[in-house]
Amino acid sequence: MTGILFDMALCAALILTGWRVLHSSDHFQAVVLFITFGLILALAWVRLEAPDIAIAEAAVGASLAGVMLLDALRVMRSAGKEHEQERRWTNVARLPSFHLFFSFIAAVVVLVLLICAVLELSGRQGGLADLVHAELESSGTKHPVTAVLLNFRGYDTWIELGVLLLAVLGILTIRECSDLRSLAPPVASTIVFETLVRGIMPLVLLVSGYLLWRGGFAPGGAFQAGVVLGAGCILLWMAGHRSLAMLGDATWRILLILGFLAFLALGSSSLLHTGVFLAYDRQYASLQIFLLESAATLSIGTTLAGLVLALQPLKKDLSQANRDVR
Amino acid sequence: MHHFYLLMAMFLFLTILVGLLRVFIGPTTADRMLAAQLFTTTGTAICLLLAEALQLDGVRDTALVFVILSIMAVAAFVRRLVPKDPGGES
Amino acid sequence: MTIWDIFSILFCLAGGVFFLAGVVGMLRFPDAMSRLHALTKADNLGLGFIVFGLCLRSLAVPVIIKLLLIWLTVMLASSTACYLVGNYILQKAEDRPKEN
Repeated sequence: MTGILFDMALCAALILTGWRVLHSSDHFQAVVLFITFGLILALAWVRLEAPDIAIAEAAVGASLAGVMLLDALRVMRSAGKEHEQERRWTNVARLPSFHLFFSFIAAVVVLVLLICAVLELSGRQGGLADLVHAELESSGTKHPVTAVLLNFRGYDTWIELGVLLLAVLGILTIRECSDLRSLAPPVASTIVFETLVRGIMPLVLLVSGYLLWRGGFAPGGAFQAGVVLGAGCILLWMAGHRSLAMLGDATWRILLILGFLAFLALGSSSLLHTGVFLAYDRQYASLQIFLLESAATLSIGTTLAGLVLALQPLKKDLSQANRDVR
Repeated sequence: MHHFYLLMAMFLFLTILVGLLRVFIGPTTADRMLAAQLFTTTGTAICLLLAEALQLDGVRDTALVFVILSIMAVAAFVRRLVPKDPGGES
Repeated sequence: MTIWDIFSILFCLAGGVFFLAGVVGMLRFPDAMSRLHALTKADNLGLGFIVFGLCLRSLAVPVIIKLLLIWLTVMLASSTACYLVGNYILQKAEDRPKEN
């Protein structure tokens, strides 16, 4: 009974905050509500007994996205574009009608495809959980989620790492830089915050490693560890330390592609040996999964930190602004 | 016993719902940010209570991640992207 | 129900009272500076009592270490966060006369 009431309160809160995020007149209020929304969603995942997703949601939805949105808001305010943007967002109806027409067609096509996909499903009772548990013994890991992500559906995880890589490449292209060294250096923070970061950084690294290690037999894993690592880099930046932006060109690139490359290397070697892409040797499966996860953790951390930090002003823009002031 | 921890978690969640009012009425940005900070701590407490009620050890790790990243939003909020006085050194 | 369970319940209830006080203060206090005050009570004492109550309940060393670590980090992080916000409010107040 209590459980049902709690679940209903969670649903109501999610709908309320979600609605207010979209309809609040004040942008800052919307950002704070978005952070709260992420927090409530993480609690909902906890309630559904899925701590893996709760960790990812808490770290990405509430923290990284919060930092990104606050930065974006500041950039908009300083450029004085806030009101212009507001007009553009509220008057969707002003879009040329053929844009609306084509997006409608695209939406209908995707909907039909999705319905077809659902009808194609074999209608297995109780999902695939039984199958996963039956095969868990041979997967090289003791946690079903890790087994699915790294072994049974390793192909999906590989492609997801590729998507992350594409995202950071896209953002860097738009910012017209190849790494973070062309960003303006971070502004020194107060000594209180600096001391906190100094004290908390070892804990961040410890938690990141702990989550990576725990992924072998309990909720945790590469993505969660990577997100925590990336958040640590952003904390360092905010305390006035340059973190990722000090890396040389080669190191930065290697860190970005390491996860993707590890999957590719393992996949092609198994393709040559056994003729199947990403097939693990049963004897070494544990070790292979651990190595893949470690590489993926480094890449995910670098990528996410890069995505957030790339919003900082560029060096050349800053010197331009200084010249204008003078 | 588990029932008690679940009830306690629900009570704390209700305080978050009531506290949302402060985010809606503001009036300043600092007020809204403080409300978010309070929600994070309350969320941590709810996670710990749920970990006990549902007997899930992994949820304590969620609480740990909540806590170490809770400072990020506030730090991003008070931070300056450019030095206070851009032309000051001339 | 052992004596530990009863103490655990009492400590958790005490924590709940502080969280309630925090949210009431957050709503009722007149300005941001005094609301900051309400927030720190909930952070330090509210979570502290709940952590203590849960420690009594579990009595397993790794869990207790993790719980205490969480509480210590919250105290560090939330006092820093409150300092940062307080500093921000003060600087805003300083900036305003210059702008006019």
